[in-house]
Amino acid sequence: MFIDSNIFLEVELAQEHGEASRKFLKMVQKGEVRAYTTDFHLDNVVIVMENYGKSWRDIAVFLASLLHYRGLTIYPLLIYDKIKATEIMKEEGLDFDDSLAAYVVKKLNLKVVVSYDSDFDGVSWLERKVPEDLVP
Amino acid sequence: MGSIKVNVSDDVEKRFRMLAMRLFGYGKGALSVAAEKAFSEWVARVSEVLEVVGFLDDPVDAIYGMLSHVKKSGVELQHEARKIRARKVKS
Repeated sequence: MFIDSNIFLEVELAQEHGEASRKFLKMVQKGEVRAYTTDFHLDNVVIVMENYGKSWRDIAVFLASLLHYRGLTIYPLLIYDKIKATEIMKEEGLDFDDSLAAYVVKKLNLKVVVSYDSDFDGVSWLERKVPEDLVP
Repeated sequence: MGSIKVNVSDDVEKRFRMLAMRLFGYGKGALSVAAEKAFSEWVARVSEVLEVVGFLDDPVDAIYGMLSHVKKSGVELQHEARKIRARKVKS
């Protein structure tokens, strides 16, 4: 499955979806679930953190925390991936950010995107789940 | 010389064996040479970055609540990130 930026953001927000997202990420961290994200989607989290005044150390902690995840693979997006993702923008009407996620779902045959963003719901070949669907 | 026994997925094992043998020959030691290179690179990279923040006791709890002062949803913030990127590209 693919983890969207907003799942990490929900853990940092610690609000309505914070606890479910935290439990889900712990499952990935322990290796109970195998998941992928991209460097681009992690950069989204860093951009938001910086925009809301978080220090270099907080950003470093976020990024370093990802090294501890047994079940997480960070897919490094290349220019070729980004060009291919624009086809999904055209075909599915998603924005670039979501198209990149959908592209990786398709390329790696993951089928599921874990996200609170309902924009994925119109894409017939992937299934959107939220952490509440996945945690016991 | 130390010895480490590891378990990897079938797919990784197959590709690792094939590439190691094609690069380092089909004789004894090819897998060890490739594994040493992979281990050394991982150790070097991880040691370097851990000097910045050190080890985290719990990587998920370490980020929990970092943005609790922000009263927006994760999706709203993700959409904001897109706008910030766009602004930076324009400026």
